[in-house]
Amino acid sequence: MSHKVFLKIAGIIIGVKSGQQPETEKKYAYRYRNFVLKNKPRKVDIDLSIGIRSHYHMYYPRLLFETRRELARGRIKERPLDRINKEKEKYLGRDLDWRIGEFKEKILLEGGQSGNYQVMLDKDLKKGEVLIINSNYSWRITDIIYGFLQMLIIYYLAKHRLGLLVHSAGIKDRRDGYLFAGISRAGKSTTGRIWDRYARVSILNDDRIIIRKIGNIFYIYGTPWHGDFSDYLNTSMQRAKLKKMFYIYHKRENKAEVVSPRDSFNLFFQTIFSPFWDKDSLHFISGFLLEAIFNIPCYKFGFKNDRAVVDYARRLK
Amino acid sequence: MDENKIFKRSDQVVSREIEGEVVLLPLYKSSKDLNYIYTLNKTAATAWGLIDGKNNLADIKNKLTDEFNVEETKLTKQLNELIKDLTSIRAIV
Repeated sequence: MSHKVFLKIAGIIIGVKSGQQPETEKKYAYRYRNFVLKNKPRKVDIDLSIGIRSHYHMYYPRLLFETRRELARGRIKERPLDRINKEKEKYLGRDLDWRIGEFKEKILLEGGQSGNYQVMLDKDLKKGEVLIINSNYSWRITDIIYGFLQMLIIYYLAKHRLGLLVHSAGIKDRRDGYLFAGISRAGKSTTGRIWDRYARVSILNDDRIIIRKIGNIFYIYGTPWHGDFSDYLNTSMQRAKLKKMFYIYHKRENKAEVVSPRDSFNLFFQTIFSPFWDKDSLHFISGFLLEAIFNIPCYKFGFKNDRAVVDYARRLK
Repeated sequence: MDENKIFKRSDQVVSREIEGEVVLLPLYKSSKDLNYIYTLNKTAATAWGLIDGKNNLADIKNKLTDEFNVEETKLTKQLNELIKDLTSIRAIV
């Protein structure tokens, strides 16, 4: 019997099929349930089938990865599913290693700790087999979302000229979308907390936002990959029309300055998760960012950690 | 530097022009290497545009001299430094 789960992230529909039902995750389901479709969609953009093995060498020999052409490797920060300090709302950052390689006509993506996820995808990234290494022969939706899906989405967005993933908080203020991008510790989660507490807004996410262009309009989308702050966590498939882009940092008083396109590019490019191993993708990402910069007001925003920042950001023209 | 030498842009870098300047984005194989993007000012951006696999360094120098009012010795020194920098980040071969 085949079990299917459908996820929708920034308009991209991911179908996950397995001979086994995923484990029930009462404890963590709130983090991703808003991205799970209740009904079967008419079409699927990325079609994944799950296989589970106790040891990876039984199915995709590790040797496979030694004979493939490696394209890139890296680390991406993930937040573990267990809250570490409830009072401080602090999570330990955890690095997940990943590798991307080519083998014959396939793209291989290996991720997670100890390389316990291996994904063999068609070159267009639309179809793939996922091998989960689990001695219990079970799988969970969190294995997909928090194992390798982020890297796959980063690559898929670029390859199909759809958009990009930004290290940023995203706010939906009535109909307007504000992007607060920054490097680690710049204040993205703090921004999420302030706007959640003092403004009637929807916090799309406090760490990872996808920007897409639909027609002539730029939108920001929430994602299931959050940062430190999760009490507000109502991240969902909703989107907002992008009105302002802020490159944020902590300051003793609120001060925003309009930034030239060149300086905006230098600032915001630091905050993009780019497929830096693929020239076409990098070309697209840089062009997409430039287009956003030329169409959306960009500010370098030193902000003070208090409620005044809400009106200050809203009033900026 | 040999002024007959011809350089061309590497396929290991993506370049984007923004307001007369050029941003260079090198391709990498590891996220550990992902530290920099490079910006060429207007003069360097013009030189970058002339590095096309056809112009040698003497051609580039002459064209830059025509376009910018710079003393030749100074221009030669700056051009050599630019070529050295671009080679070090694998932007040209």
